[in-house]
Amino acid sequence: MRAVKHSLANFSFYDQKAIEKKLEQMAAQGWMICKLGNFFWTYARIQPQKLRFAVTYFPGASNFDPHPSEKQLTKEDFCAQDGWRLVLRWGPMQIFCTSRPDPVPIETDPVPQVENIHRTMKKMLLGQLAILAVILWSLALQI
Amino acid sequence: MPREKFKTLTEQMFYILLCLHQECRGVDILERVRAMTAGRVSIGSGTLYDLLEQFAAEGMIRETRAEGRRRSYIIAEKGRQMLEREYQRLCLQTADYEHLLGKGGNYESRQA
Repeated sequence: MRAVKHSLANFSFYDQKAIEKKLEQMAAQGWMICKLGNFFWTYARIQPQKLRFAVTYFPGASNFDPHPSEKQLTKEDFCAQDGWRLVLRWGPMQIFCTSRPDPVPIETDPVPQVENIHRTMKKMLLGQLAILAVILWSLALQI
Repeated sequence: MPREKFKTLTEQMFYILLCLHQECRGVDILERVRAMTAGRVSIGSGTLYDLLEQFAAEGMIRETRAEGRRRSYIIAEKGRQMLEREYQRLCLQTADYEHLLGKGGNYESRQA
């Protein structure tokens, strides 16, 4: 039986509910997410189990950070206090899981939740625009 | 025109500020609020972190102690004023309800 599985990623980066539902289905089938990518997600074999997942966003975190910031680690400590285990980080996205049957959700107020998503989107868009500008500039130099 | 931030406090904001009338570690607020409300109000750990950051940035609370990543906070004067304002607003709301429906009254019996 193979230990690793790759699956096509067909979710929006900001579709929290769909991502959580997919990860819960996969855990129930015996697969735990271990790596996220723009096109493929990788899962590792586990015992099938009923887990709850939560997807959150930490504006300012990125894949270029050498290590998570103190603030990001503090937020993760808060979540751990309430029984949510960090599974992995992917840029500003953090994925947590818990085996508690009726956990308190990580986010219970929609206002700061939406504010986090909004700030994350703004920072990512600015980063992508900067990369596009550099590409266009280097192409222009070659002409 | 967008609503002024913290013009009204949500239930979770209210209880976090109430909890911080005494110095308290950030992570301990989760259990304190549950105990204070007999489990009626539960604050998400991520929401708690976000609101503490916002309150600190607005000057509504201040950090009193830091032991590594474990920080303690206490309410500041601005936070006390906002809490008092919210309490007065809720009292007025209760008074309006009691004026219209009476204490313990219900809407259906009034309409009949």
